Amino acid sequence: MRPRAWCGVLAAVALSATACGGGESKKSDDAGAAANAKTGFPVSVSDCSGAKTTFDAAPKRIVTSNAAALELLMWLGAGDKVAGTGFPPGKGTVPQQFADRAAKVPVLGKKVIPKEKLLGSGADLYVDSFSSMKNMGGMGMAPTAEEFKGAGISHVYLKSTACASMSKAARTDLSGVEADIEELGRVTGTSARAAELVAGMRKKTDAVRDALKDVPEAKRPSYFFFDYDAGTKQPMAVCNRQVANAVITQAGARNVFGDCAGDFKPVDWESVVAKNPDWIQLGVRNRGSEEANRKAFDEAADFLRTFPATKDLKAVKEGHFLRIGSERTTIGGVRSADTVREIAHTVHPDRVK
Amino acid sequence: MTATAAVGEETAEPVREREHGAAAARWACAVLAPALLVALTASVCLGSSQVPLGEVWSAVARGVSGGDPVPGTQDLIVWQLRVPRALLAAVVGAGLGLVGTAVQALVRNPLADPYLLGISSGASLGAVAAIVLGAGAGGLLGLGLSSAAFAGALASFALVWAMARRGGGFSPLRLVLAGVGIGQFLSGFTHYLVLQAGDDQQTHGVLFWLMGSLGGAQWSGLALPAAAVLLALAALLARARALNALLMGDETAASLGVEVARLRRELFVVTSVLTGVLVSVSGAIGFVGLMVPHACRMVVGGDHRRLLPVAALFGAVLLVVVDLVARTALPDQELPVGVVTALIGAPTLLYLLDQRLEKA
Repeated sequence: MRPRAWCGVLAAVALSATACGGGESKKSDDAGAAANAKTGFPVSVSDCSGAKTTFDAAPKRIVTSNAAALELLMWLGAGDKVAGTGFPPGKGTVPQQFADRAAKVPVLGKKVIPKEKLLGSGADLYVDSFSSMKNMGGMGMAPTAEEFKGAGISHVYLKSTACASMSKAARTDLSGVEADIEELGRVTGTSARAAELVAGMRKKTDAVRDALKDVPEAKRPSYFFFDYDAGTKQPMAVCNRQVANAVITQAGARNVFGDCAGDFKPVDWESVVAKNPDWIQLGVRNRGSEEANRKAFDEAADFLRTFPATKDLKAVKEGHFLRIGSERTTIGGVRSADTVREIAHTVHPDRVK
Repeated sequence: MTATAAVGEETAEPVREREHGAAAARWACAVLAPALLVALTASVCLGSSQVPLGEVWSAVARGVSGGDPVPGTQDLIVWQLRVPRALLAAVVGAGLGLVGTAVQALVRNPLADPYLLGISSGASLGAVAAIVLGAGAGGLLGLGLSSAAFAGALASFALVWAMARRGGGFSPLRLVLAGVGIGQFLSGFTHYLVLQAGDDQQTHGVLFWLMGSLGGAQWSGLALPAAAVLLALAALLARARALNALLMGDETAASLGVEVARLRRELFVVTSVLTGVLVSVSGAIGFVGLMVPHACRMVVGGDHRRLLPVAALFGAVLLVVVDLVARTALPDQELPVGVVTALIGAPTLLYLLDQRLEKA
């Protein structure tokens, strides 16, 4: 019999013994209920398709699918419970205050965590930024719901990113990201901290919204997120279900591919040129150092300046480039609000200081 | 090999059949040449964005005459994107038609395609390495995507050459086995690299390129593939009679004065270099190189003096049409060219086969 099965038997025996304790058990139940009322348990959350998972207590060991989920747990003050991650954060990619702790988190997979490692991690919660349907191209690597259950791991999604491609409506604000933070706060017993974080985000985004409230839609600049690292032969459009669309819209700009439904879609350069955007964000992925990032931004700008079809576009001629990394634009998190502010300040410098 | 015999029968034709083939070739060219012009015109006039027809022609006229482009995006779309892309589609299609015909003769196997000899696997590995390791347009070791793809093609060419020449014969079986073996070996690395891509979008971008894309077409990138296709056409036409003899078997070809081993070496060099150039500019576009020679053989017969130019012309028409469909079939996204070639090409081949069987 496997250790986990023994644990199950022992737990059942222990529970029976407690149940036989009569009045004692009633007392402890009351105490438990009171504690739960204070921490907000039980908590129910749903996945992309609406299936519910219920938590009776905060998890003790958490595994995260990628750096974004790890960072979010650190913001919530639950970083010390993280027992491993996939897609670990690159050097200099997490905020300074979390850098030391993030460096100590065991890396269970450089990319998607292999199924065996994830199921054998001893975690009781897996925080997933990827939908199981796509799973980052790692088809068949994601454990099934039954396998998670068998391993005693509850599975929650950061839906603003994971469910983007299945979403029914366009995302034009950060409410999805805020809902993720609040939900993860409830699951990990850090609701108060989650509320603080969301309030801080709203303060920033509300200030931007107020500063731009009298700028009509038609007067807002058009904006192209140039996904440089997805390849330059075939541009990749950020469509209206992607978090980036919410970030761009909240910053008072108009995503040139805001009418395309989905998260990312390959388009042709003709579509980009026809939109002739006012601003272009050089969406490069973090290279691990300031200097390497600067070089990548330069390369992306040089491509647009030398590619015959784009060199005469308005944004390129006027040098209207935003050097803002890809991750903090396309992956929802606490810093999404900072990205909103940064874009707003760049495209509306006279209104957003 | 029955297929070989069938092809052999097609080439060992009596006089009347040869005359019929010549007439069919003239007819095919008379149909295909205007079809290519129509396809190119449609490809320049249609796209994901609306450009009025009058503006399209004005932009083309300004481009051809070297006049200053009109400010705005229409000249950019028509002259910098659509025209070079349509021309690149024609060049790549012609090249795939040619190289498919040549490889089928080289290894005496009607199921051969340009990618059988492993060259495209090397090119794909180079290109994917440039995208994943070099990220974006920065390339690998200072190489751009196309250069990295061509370097990969040359490396796999060298490996297949080294394997195939052992024993001195460049026999069809040895070439195919060396090509398939090395191709599989390199494909393994390519798949590994795809899994190393940073994220979903990057993986998507790599896979899109692997399935074929003419999205990177530029004026500056047209000269090399066009020159390669023209040179290959000239080189293959110069060996057209020898190719006909080769299909009748090595001994028969030798008795007709063909230096079989040398001819195979030359064919291998021509097809490898051309495949490397084509894959480096457009990714691995499947099916055209396999289907076009068959379709053309059904119409004009197996004589390479006629088959080669007709295959080049038909390949050009087919790929221009396929690329147009890939760009315009879906309202807000582009399809990989390889997907459309399979969807259009397979039914076309099956239809031709059916017609031919009915006639027989």
